[in-house]
Parts: sequence; C-alpha cells; structure tokens
Amino acid sequence: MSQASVNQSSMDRPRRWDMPFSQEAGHDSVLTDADIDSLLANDAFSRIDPAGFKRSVPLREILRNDVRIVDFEQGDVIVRQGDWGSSAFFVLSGAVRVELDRGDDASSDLIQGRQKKPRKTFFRSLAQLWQNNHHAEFRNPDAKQSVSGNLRSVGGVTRVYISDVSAVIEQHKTARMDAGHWFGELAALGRTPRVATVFADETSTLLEIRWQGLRDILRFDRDQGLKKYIEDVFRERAMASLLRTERLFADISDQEMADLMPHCRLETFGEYDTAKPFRELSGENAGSVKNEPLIAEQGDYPNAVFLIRSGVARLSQKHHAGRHTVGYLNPGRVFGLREVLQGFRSGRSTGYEARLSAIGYLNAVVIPASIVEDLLRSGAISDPEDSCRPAVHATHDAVDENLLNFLVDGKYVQGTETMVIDMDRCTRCDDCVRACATTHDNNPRFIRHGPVSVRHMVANACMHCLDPVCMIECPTGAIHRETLGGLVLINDQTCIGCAQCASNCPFDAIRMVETRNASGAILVDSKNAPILEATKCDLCHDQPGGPACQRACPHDALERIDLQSLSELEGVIAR
Amino acid sequence: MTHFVRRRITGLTLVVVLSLLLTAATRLMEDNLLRPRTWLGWVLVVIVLFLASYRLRKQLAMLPLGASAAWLQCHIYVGLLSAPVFLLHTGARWPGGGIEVVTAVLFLTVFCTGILGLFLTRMIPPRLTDRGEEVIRERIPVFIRILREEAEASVAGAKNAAPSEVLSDVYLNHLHSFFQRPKNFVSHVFHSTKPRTALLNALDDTRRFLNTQHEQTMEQLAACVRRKDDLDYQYAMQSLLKYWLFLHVPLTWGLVVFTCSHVVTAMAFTSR
Repeated sequence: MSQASVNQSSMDRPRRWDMPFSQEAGHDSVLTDADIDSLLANDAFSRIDPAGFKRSVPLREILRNDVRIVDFEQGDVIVRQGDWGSSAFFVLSGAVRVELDRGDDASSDLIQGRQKKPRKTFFRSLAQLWQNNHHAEFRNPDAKQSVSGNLRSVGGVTRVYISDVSAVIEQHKTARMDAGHWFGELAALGRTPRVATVFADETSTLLEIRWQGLRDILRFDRDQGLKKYIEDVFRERAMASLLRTERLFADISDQEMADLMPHCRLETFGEYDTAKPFRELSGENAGSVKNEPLIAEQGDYPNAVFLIRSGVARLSQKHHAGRHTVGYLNPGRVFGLREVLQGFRSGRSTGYEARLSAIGYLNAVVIPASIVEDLLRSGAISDPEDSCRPAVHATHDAVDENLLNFLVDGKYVQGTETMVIDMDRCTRCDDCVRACATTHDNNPRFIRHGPVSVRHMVANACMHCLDPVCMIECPTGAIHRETLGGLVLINDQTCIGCAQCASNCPFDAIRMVETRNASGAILVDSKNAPILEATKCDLCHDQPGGPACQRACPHDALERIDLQSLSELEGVIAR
Repeated sequence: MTHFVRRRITGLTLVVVLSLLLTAATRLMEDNLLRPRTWLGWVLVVIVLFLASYRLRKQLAMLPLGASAAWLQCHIYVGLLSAPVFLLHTGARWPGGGIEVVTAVLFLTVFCTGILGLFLTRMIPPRLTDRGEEVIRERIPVFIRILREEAEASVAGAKNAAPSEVLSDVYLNHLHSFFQRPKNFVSHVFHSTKPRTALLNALDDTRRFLNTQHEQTMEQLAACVRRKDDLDYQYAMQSLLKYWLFLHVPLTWGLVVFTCSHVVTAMAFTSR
C-alpha cells in the first residue's frame, strides 16, 4: 500500500454493489451481459417487467450484482438443515435432492458430516482433571484430516460433499427437484434456519441470489409472479403453524384458517448489507432509534396486526424531542393486537400506543385489522381480556430504562443464553473462567470482560443468539445449531479457520486461535501458515451439569439469561 | 423483601435456633452426667471437614455437584454455627495442651479470616463498580505501561513544540515513580484520596509557570494521573479480594491437620 493512498483524505463513497455477489466469499466469476440475457430469457425471470424497477435498482443490475451462477458436482451439499440462510437458489440445469427426514438429527448429521458430541459420564467428566492437555488449544491433526476427506475445494470455495449419493438416497427419504424450481427462499427472506438439507443429485448449475436482490425483485416486479410463488409456498408450508402460535388464532378451525391466510402478507423490514461485516453495521446503527426502519408509528390508526417471524423490533414512545425505548419484541410476539381489540370493544379506534421499528432486520406476517375484526364479529375467535398482552414493557420495575436501552441498543436482546454478570456481587475471582477452562481441555471459551451498564456486564461469551449472524457465510457449516432453535456450536473437525464467523459476530464472542499438537507446537500448513480455528462458548453441552461458569460462580453474580422476554432478567435483578 | 434478604434472614435464624438447641442439649447432657464435649467435638470435626470440602467442590467444577453459590451459602452459615459449637466444646475456656492451643488458634484465625472475607466480598465489588473502568487485574500492569508511555509522550511535547522544563521537573520528581507500578495500596484500602490529591495539586501548582500550550499538556498529565489512580484503586481492591484467601485457605488445611491430631490424641487419652 503506497504512502499516498494511506494518507489520502477522501475516497469514493462505498455503494451497495461495490462487491458483486459473484465475487464474494471466495467466488471469483463475473456475470457477463450474455449471462444476464440468458437469465432474462429463463422462465423464472422472463415474466418480470423491468419497467417496474427503480432507475437506481434496475433488474439487470440486480442480476449482475446480487446473483451468481454456481456449478455443483454430484453429492455437493448446497444447504444444510439448521444453517442460517441469506440467499435463495434456483435450479438452472441438473437436479438437486432435498432430504425429507426432518428432525431426524442422526440422518442429517450423517449427510452433513457433523458429529454429535455425546454427553460425558460422571467419571469421564472427573477424568478431565488429569486428562486435559497441558498445552493450549491442542487438536489432533489426524481427526481433522479424517473429516477433511468429505471436504473439497472448488474455485477457492470449500464444500462438504456426500461421497456415496446412492446410499444416502437408499437410506433416507429424499425428494428430487429438477430445473425450474426455487428453494431456500423462505429461509433467505425470513433469516430463519434452513429446514432441510439439499444436495446435488447430479452435476447441476444453480443460480444463487442474495436476499437483498430477491427482496427488490419481489418489491418492484409488477407481475408479482415470484412474490405470489413465494407467498404461496409460505402459506402452504409455514403460515398456519405460525398463526396458531398466537393464542387468539390457536383454536380456529382449519376452514377459518384457510379463509384467513390469503389476507395475510409476509413482509420484510430493514436490511443489512452482507457485503460488509455485520459488526460494522451494528456499530453504526447502535443506539440510533431514528435510523431504524419504521414499521408502525405511535398514534397511527391500527390498521394491521404484526406477528413477528424473525428479527427483533424496538418499541419506543415519544418523549419531548426524543424517544423512550419501552420494550422490544422477538419472534412469536405480536404488535397491534391490543389496540385492534380495544378499538373493537369500544367502537372507537385508538392509535398504536408505541412506535414499532426494526432493529436491523425484521420479517413479519401482517394481518389486516379488518380481518381480525371480521373474525371477532363472526365469533370465529373470541376476545378474552387476557388475549391482548401488553406490548409495552415500561411497567417493569426491576429493569430500568437505562438497562433496557443498553440491551436493545447493543442488540443483546438477541441472546438466548446471554452471560450477564452483576458487578456489585462479582468478586472478580475468575472461578467462572477456571471452570470453563477445566471443562474445555484447559482452554477458557470466554473472557470475563465486556460492556457494562451501571452494574450489569454482558460478558464476551457466546449468547447463542436467536438470529446468529455468525452462521451466515460459514463455508463448511462448521458453525451450526445443535438442533432447530438450539445451541450454536462449532464443529472442530470441519472448521477451516476462515474467520467469517468471528468477523460477523457483533459481540466479539468468537475467537480465532492457533491450534497446537500434543507437544505444544503450533500446527502449520504446507506454507508454514498457522492452522486457525474458531472457538467460542458451547454452553458445556457435553458436560453432565450444564454451563460450568454459572455453576462455579460462588456469589450468584453470573447468570445465563434468555433475553427473549424480560421476565428472566427481572427475576435476576429483583433478587 | 428480596430473595437474598429472605435467604440471609432464614440462614441467620437457622444458625441462632441450632445454636440454642445445641446449648440446651449440652446442658441437658451435663445434667444427666453425660459427656457432651466429646459429642460436640465430633460435631465440630464434621463441620470443619465440611467447610474444608468447599475447596474440593471448586476444584471439581466439571462435576454436577450443585451450584457453587449454594455451597458457599452452606459454607457461610455452617461456618457461623461452628463458633457456638467451638465455644460449647471448649466450655468457653482456653485449652491447655500444645496441640489443642494450636488447633484453637487456627480455628479462631480461620473463623476470623472467613468473617473478614465475607465482609470484603460484600463490600468491595460495589466500590469497584463505582470507580474507574472495569479491568482484569492481571492486565493492569499493561494498562499502566500504556498510561506511562502516554504521560511521557505528553511531557516530551509534540513534534514541533519544545517541552516544558517545569512539567519535566514535576514528572521526574513526582510522577515518574507513580507511573512505574501500582501504587498507594494502603491508601486505597482505606479509601484515602490523599496521594491523588497531592499529585494533582503538585501539577496544578505549575500552572502559573506555563503557557497555554503547556497548560494543555498539564491537563493531559492530570487526566493520566486520575486514570492511573483509578487503576491503582482497582488493583488494590482486587488484590485484597484475592489475598485474604491466601490466609484463609492454607490456614484451613492447617486446621484440618491439627484437628485430626487433636482427635487422635483425644481418642488415645479417652481410651485410657
């Protein structure tokens, strides 16, 4: 880098498409005009009217920058069950297979090359006292090599592959998808985990589109063909079960549900740019309610009820020239129902009692208020007093606004196992760190350090986020959820040390470490570069007693808290 | 009433009730010409071994042996109960034999260091939270080095500005040793801000001899002094939280050894 370039004081403003998708994460191809013409001639895109697109976001540029064409060999795993998706796929040629043995972890693990760590017995746990390695970050190179047999590198991209496709097809229930089918679009738009593993059934060419491009096509396509297709798929596969999670709709008949679903819309609010590390964006927007995408404004006529599918939303109320944060909503929570029910009872409409804004990103089912009122009128759903849970958390005594702001602004509300330390009780004895090291081969998996709000520290330990952005872009699926909605774990044997997860984690909870052999020497590759591996808290999932850090704290200072609701935190604070 | 207050009241009430019951039982046994002290001695042995086993629990963090916090609560209240048991066992008289005296001295020392530890672990953490940035004790020397370099760079002056001789003198006379390592341990333990005030006053006294630019340097130095003093405070208090255990734990093992010796000798004499 020249001295001049280091000292220059101005540069071109970074733009959305500085880095085309086709050149991201090890891919190195460019979509030519001929490629784009060929795509536009394909049935999937030929019905899209380019005239509906904004001049700054033309269809051709979306295809050029948000799409890449990827070739897969037979057996290549394209997406894995449980992985977090940020892109969708369209089969251009060839065919893929979807594994249908959903929920059967054993089969999924077999296909994906994952190995489940069995829980240690009492005596195996005790044996850690003398069996733990004396050197930091010891890894057995042989164990790694044996799994690397199922990895292959294609054009700089590492992929997991299934060596015996016919055996997998024989042993597991699968379905074939030929050219012309989409898959992965629901996970991409909803930032939810992939629900099935998909692998190439034969040599295939797939179009992969990042979710921002897909969102823009859905937004500007006048024909709405793709949007209709995706909404139909969502309605067919997921909407009914999502609506039934809300108590109001839990008991309605199948026919009433079928009547309700066509009126519901699946909407995405906010965005994040995957071209730059998530943590950068997290830093820019931290604490700025003003910058958050508005979903519903305080005081507005409540014309819809929002059922959150993924992401986190902030509730805020106007206070002089600024805004109070009065709560947050996680997936499964509802906004606007209270106001709609109040309006229905009183016959007078009351505005939304708070503003709803997306913290980074939100995917929600929007139910028109008129439909809810029709269902109430027809008696299909009843109006119990307790059905309208208050959306606003402001009445909580234990969690003051300062702490609430700290948790929401820092996005710690994503955590399902957030390590919160009460610094007024913590004696800094580090028993927690020692216990962590004892249970992880003498390697502590967190640092007793982190941001503090008055007296509560959120330590740099993996929070096992509801929306684990660390899993986005992991090339081998080494970082994964144990089961759907479960712990976020790293498979030592398939981690290639690319550091994508560590750079994506906004909470500095993942550390890249240099691995060592039994004699303590740093493991290196053929070019003498150290073999790195990502490490983080695994919540002692293989230990018989659960998280050692929490059990080891003598002063009730350290707690692992699920911040999906404030009640657990309140319980801890009010002790 | 919070959970912790309720827990404290329950624990203390249990200790008082058990102490009264033990006292009544001792009286009753004495009235019936039984030997309560031997029996109380065995109770005390069990208590001492139970209290010492907490250390073992800490070593076996990987085993599902219950939360350390629950163990500590038992440790505290059983420890408190050990005092009346000890008094009942000795009859509130100073023992005569050599082993017995050492055992008694060790018991009282361990008990007192335990009470001191309880006091420190309840008093110091909120003070640490209130003052200075949260730092890991082992990293404090690194932060001190960074501050020292920052302070020395300020005194040396900016690239195009001559350093102030007055500030250089103040640095050499007052601040050089201050920035070398953690300082004023005792003052911090007793919450005295005298050394900090003295250093800031020494800096402030130079103001009349400084031009505007050097006055800014002086302000930077004062900020470094404040930050270094906060680090010293953290170091002193966190050290105190660690050091009391260097008394309590080894003395506990000494107590276990001497308790066993006392049991052996007492049994030997009893059997005669």
